[in-house]
Amino acid sequence: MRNIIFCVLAACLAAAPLAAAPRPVTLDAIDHTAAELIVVGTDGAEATYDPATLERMPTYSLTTTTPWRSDPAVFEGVLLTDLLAAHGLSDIDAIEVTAENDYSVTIPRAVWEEFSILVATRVDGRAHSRRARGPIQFVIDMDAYSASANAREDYLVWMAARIEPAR
Amino acid sequence: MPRPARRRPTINRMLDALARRVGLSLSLTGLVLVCALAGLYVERSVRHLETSKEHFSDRYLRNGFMAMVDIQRLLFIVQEAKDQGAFTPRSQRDFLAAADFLYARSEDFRQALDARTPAASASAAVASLDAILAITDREPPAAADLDRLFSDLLAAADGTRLHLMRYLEEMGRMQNEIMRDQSRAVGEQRNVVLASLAGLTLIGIAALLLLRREVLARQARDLAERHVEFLAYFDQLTELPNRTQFQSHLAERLAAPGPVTLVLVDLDDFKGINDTWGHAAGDAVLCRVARLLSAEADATGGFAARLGGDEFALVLPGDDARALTTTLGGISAEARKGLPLDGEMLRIGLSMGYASNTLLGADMDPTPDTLFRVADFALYSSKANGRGRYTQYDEELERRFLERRSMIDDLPRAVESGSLDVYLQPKVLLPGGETFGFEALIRWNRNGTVILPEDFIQIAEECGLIFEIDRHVLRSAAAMLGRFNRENGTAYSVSVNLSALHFNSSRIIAWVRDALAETLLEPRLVTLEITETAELRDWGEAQRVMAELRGMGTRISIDDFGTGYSSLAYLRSTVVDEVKIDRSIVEQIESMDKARFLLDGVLDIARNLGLDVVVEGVQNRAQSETLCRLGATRAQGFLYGQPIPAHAALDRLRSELPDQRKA
Repeated sequence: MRNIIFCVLAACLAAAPLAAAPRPVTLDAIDHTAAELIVVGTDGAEATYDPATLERMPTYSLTTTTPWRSDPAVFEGVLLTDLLAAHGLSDIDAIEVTAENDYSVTIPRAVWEEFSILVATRVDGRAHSRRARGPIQFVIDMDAYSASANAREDYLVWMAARIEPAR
Repeated sequence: MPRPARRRPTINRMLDALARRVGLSLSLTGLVLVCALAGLYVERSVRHLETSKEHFSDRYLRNGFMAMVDIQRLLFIVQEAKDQGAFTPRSQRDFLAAADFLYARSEDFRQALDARTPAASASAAVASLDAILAITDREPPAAADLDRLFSDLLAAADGTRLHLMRYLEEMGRMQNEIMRDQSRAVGEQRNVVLASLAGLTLIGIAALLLLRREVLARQARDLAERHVEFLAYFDQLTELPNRTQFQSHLAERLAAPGPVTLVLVDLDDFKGINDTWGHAAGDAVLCRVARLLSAEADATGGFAARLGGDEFALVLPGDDARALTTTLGGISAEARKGLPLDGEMLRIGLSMGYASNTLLGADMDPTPDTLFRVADFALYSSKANGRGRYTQYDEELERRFLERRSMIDDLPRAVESGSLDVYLQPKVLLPGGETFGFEALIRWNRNGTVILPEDFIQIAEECGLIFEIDRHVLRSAAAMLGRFNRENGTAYSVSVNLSALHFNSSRIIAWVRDALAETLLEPRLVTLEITETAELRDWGEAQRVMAELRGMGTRISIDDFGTGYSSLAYLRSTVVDEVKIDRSIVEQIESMDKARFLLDGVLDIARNLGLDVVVEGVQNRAQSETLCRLGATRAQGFLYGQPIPAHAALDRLRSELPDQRKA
């Protein structure tokens, strides 16, 4: 009996990181698609990133599908939590994310605390293009996404252009 | 005429049907079926909704609008460049980005196509989007001819707008359909829920009502059962336990170790109370006695019961004579205080007899029956000694009880074996003393001892043997005298005593007739003597029987006149031929003037009424002479002859015959 419980626990522990967590990865420099991501701090200070400057933060890799991809792809980029922490946005209630085509969505803190949201800048080792819903795309592991009732397609912003505290 | 059967309420019949195995199975099946149907109904509408929803996503609708916006953005960028005459580097970048947006949008459409959603309009929209993309991707924006690019894009956008409109309309229709399905599904679910609630409410109400019915019915049943039990084991008037319960209680008490005393209580002259004061008063008296006895039972851990009529019983623990005397004396005194009734005090007299199981002799089995009999004997003794007292069953009573019991045992055999002998005592004419007839008297020759009738006739009356005995005497005496008269050409009469018990029914008439027919004795020579006792209460009925007997030619005589219950009323009765003056009067005739005057008066009255008078108990010549002086004509007594066995009496008579004839 004890053995069975142990095995189940081990399986869970082994499966959990595979299912949800992006792995840290070291990326070589490449030519990126031209894009800008502006992050507005709580004090109103704006910081402008392009994919290359984003990748100066710790980078991660996540292999998953998206609602628009039936085949898994390797997404690489930085964690949203790292980005928010860098601008003192970790503890605010919600952020508002705007895309280049003026699409915007409010993401509550519970969402970025529940899911590891990857701010992807590369797909399958190459620069992320707009036609492939880049250049900067929010990605969540699809298994975790499907398993949770809190996940919404709205949060998977592509062509992300601006992050600011929600008003 | 048959009474119409009472109709059972419909609901009861329905419930009966429901309670049967078939009824229960059917209704359970029905219930399951209804639930299953409701479930299927809901399931069907939900599934229909899900099917519709599978083919629709709000993303498809949004795609259409976004595509319009994206095309608009593209056109705006190109128009701005055309107005300025050339693309700036920034507007080139915006143009490429806008084309990329449109590309992503056409991807979404393609996905919708893959999901086979509104295929026709979606594929037309995709084609027109592809046409726009073909224009934007034709050459790098820097090299483009802006006028041509703008006019091409404008033309393509125009067609695309048409297709998108159609697509959007179709999507809108689908959305409406889904909304409608949703509303319908919710409506259907609401119907099911309402129907279920209504059904549940009805079932609940019915269940509660039925439950109440059942509970009420059960309560009524319990009450009825308790009432029946009460009727079975209690006396309704006094609420004391009845005879049934008394018997089992006494048996239980006797089975347990330890002394037990049974007290039997009789109300004195209960009939008198009823007759004088009415039955309501009688009931009140019974209740009063019941309360006294049950209070005593409660105080001592005893048991009081009403055995029926005016008989009560008290079972008490212990056998201490002194304590019992105190207890019963207290009860008796309390009862004697009386009951207030119509402003007067109705005094209640109680006769009691009691017996303890420890006081029974060695040869008496201490069964409930035995204890009851001996206590009853003690009670009988109390009553015989003048009522209003209590008697303990002791050795003396036991001796008498056993004697009496053995007589009861022996008497039937005596009747069968002929050990009951008929004696004759002469009845004579005054003043000469000639025998004109005999009184037939019974004697029981019991193991060599001759027992007089006063010692066993009452027992015979109690155990019903008196009929046999009286008939035996009548037949024997009549037969002997009949034979004697025929043989000797004489006409001697015979008197036979009959118990008053015979005169409560007509049975006697038949057997007197039979006896006379067998013996050939002339009826006029047969005198039937009756002693008035307490048993002859119904004087009217007795007179009717006597009249019929007299109609057959026999004579009727009132025995023991002047004592007990006999009264002057009998003298004027038309059915009486003779009165016999009791010996107690003759005994005093020499010493008391009053007795003489009384006898004189009775003789005078009887003579005037045409009745014969026989004076009994004449023992000496002086009495005889006095009687002659008073004018008495008939007498009986030791002076003229004692009762002797019949054959001896007749032999003596035969030997005297010639002398009498000579005379």
